[in-house]
Amino acid sequence: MLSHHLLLALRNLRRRAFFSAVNITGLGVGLATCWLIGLYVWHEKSFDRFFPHADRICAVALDLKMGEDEGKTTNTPPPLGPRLAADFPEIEFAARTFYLQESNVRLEKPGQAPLSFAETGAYAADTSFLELFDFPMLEGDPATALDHSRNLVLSEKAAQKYFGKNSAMGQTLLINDRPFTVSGVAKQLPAASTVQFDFLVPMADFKVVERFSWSWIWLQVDTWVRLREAATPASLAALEAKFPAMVRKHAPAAFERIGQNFEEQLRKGDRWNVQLLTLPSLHLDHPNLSSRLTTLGDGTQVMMFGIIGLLILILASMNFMNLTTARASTRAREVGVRKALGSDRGTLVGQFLTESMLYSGLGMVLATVLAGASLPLFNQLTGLELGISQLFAWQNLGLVAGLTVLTGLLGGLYPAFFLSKFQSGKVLKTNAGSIKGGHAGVRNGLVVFQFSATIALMLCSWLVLRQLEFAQKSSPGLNREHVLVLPVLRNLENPTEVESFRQQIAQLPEVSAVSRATFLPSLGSFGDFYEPEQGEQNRAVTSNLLLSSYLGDTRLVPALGLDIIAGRNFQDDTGLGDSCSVILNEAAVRAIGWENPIGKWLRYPGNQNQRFQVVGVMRDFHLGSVRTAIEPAAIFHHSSNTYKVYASYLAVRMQPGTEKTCIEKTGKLWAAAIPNAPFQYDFLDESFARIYRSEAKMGAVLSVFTGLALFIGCLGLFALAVFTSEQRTKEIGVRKVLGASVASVTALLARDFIKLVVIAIFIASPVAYHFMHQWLSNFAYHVDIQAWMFVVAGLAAIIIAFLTVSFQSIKAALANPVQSLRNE
Amino acid sequence: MIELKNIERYYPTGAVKTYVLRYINAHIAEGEFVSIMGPSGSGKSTLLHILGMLDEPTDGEYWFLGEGVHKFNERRRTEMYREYIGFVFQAYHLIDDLTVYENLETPLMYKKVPSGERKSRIADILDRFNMVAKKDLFPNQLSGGQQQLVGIARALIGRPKLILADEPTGNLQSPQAREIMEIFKTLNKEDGVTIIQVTHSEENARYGNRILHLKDGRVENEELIKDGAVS
Repeated sequence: MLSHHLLLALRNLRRRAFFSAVNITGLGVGLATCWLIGLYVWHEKSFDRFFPHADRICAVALDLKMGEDEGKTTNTPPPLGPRLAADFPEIEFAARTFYLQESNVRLEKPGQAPLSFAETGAYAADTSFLELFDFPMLEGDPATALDHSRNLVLSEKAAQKYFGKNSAMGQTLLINDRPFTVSGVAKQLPAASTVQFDFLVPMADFKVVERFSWSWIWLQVDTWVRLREAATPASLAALEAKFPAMVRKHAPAAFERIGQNFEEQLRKGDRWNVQLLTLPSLHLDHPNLSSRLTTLGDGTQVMMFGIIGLLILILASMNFMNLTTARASTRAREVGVRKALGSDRGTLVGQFLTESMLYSGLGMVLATVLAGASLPLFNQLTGLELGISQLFAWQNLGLVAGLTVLTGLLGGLYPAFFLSKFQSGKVLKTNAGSIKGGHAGVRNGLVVFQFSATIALMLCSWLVLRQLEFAQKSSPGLNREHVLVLPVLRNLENPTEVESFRQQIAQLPEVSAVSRATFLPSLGSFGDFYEPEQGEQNRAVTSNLLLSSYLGDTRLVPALGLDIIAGRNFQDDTGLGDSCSVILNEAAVRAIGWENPIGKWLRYPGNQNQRFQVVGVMRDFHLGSVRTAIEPAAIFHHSSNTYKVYASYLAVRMQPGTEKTCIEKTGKLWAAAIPNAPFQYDFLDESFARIYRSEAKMGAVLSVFTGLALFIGCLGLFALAVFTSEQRTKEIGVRKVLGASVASVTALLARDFIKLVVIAIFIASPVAYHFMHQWLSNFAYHVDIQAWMFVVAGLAAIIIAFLTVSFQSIKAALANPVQSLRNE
Repeated sequence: MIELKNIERYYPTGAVKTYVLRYINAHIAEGEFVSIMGPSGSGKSTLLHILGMLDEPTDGEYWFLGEGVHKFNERRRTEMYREYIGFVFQAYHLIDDLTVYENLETPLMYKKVPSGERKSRIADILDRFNMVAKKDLFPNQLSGGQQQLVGIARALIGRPKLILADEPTGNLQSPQAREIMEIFKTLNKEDGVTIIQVTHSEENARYGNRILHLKDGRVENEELIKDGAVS
């Protein structure tokens, strides 16, 4: 019976080639989308599960509230890890890592030019780090590889990069000019690993961490622990409940040192809680976690992509449903005959399901081609690096087979039950040519659903793209364009060398200003607490304020195009006169509450109550993402020595249009001044754009989804239009004979479809508004949802639908009535 | 074989019932060849559909081989189609996507006849209807008369006790129509198959042994045909 069903389905497919093509194309596109999205979701969900002790490993996080500032972070202070390991028997290991920022790695080759790269994957790690994770090693012993000073563990990739096929063991690499000896090579970590590294060196070789071993405030290390038993929610909660006592015992001394009373802050509602985040949950389950880990995912986004992927498949199945039920009148007779020949309903349902399975099976064949062909684009969109072999890995094929069956059922069940219900007596009446299309209501409903989904997607992706453009382009108070950024700290440690390099660049005719700064907007800042002084005014000012700060010189303001709206910039090139000056932004002045900020004083309790006088106020600019409100910010002069620099940049403002020559010349100067390191540069506007990678990805993926939904919707609409005009050929003929114009016939045919799209607009608009509104609430600064967007999207949908339908309608309207009326 | 008691069929049109059939009482014995005649709208097709269990009476009782059809569910009716009843339609109603051979095979598959026997039965009937050469053609490659031959062959292949034919020659030229009627007569005489046909044609009706004249949904009169009346 099955082969009979299949044979019949195949003949049917061939006979109605156009409708079959529409169905298979739609299903193919839908399945390919679902397949790729499934891969992506699978990848995101599989993060870190390959570690043998994944259920025992946790990232240590802090749930903090300090004054106005609050949030959860994996940035932890140096003493926390050792304390956890010492105080709690439940914890087997603790290990910390310290990110070495971008580092200059060099392999000296006798008699040859050295091999040198700027590397971003270098970390200092505690000796227990490798053992804690149980990283598989190609060479070396994980338990001891980091035990000795100047040891170096490479990733497989890094070992290949520097040593090719030769063994790296015992070889020497220079990291920022300090020699390290390779003591181990770790097997390449899967892409689905939160922890990624290329170079690991012993923590003990980086004294900075040691220097802050007292500090519970300096959140510059990442801390990991491995428990003795697999973590359960209950065991974690029990363990975490013991942490506050530890914190209260050790942290107050550190806060005392910066002039804060820890206990009192807690009483005022501050929090300083240590939490453990299990490794399998780390990647997706902690939204709004601030972290140095760049591999963290976004659970909501992953879920959203998954849902939309499935939605696309559902839209494609609906085309199938629609076309099958639309053809019900043709099939009805067959059903009637078969029933009269003794077929029971089950057999008929089986027949129709076989047919829909055949379609979804062929759709899958097409999907295989489509998914394979669009894999590079997919990799580009998601940032994954999947090969064809992963596309066809057995668990993925299982997923795809499941999806295919699901699609077959989705598209086939309704028509199967609907069609098999026909009563022979009704459909076999002698001249029973006209069963009205059948379930037009359901079909209209499906079209409305398809277009609602499409229009809502259209609106949402449009909004995301507008917000993205706003976030990347709108930059009041700071001119992001034409700023070249050179990271110099690691390459020139001596300030006088930096200054002479700076002066050489400043002399280039293409350059209008060069400034040295610790951090730059979009690249971070350093934060500390300050106490504003009341001054002469009566209104009380805030007693304690967190400032995000930069150290700079007189040229920082012109180099970044900052806008001083009151007072002045730093004056003195040497900085001696400005060592106690500070420039605040408007947000800081507002937060403090000064009426006349110029000349007022800030105290810094962290450094023997150093005092700074406000000399200028700059217009607010975005320090980073527009997600957060502009924070109080300040520029101090280098000569204030308020901060030991860990990052330092030259910001070079170029004359517009000279970027290319400017970079060339700067590169030559770099090669002369810093021969040991490759020339590195960045642009300030690009660095800002990178903050919005997640939004950019979402915008791109949503646009693709919208395009696909639109394609599938139009495909279905087109096929329905073809079908309707076929059915109404006779009516059209009669109307033309009675004197109807082509335009009026076209309008007659198109009107029914346009009506559906209009209904869809009214359904989609509030739904889209809801999601758009919700998404925008993530941003402190955002574009507004405006009524005209709905109008434009609606009109676009109507025009697209009309074009889709009108081609067929006009064709039908132009047909010679004699031909359509001759039959019968 | 068939017993109709006060069969009624009506449709509600607004407040009034529109009767298609009223007070139909009839008895049809096994081996009969009955023609139903009447003007358009007299309810003859509806009656045939009720006899074929494709439609249900609104009222009255229908006994088929001693069983009450009004008590049948869909499954039981399907069994009836498989075992006892064969249909021949005016519009042939062959399945367009199947070849002649496959059209003939379909009812056998529903009857779960094993494949070997299916083959021999189809071969027999193709032979009997002189259609061996046409077995791989699709319906739209055949003339109307040939299509109707296939339709009759398909009705016969399940070896039904009863054949119901709804204007089987309505779309055919008279020579072909005569050929079809001859086949019916032979079937009735030699194979003992009970045949009930709806027809407009007095000539065709006379191939049977009895005519039911319908008018306005009632049986106006019955006419017995003497054997050999047609010549």
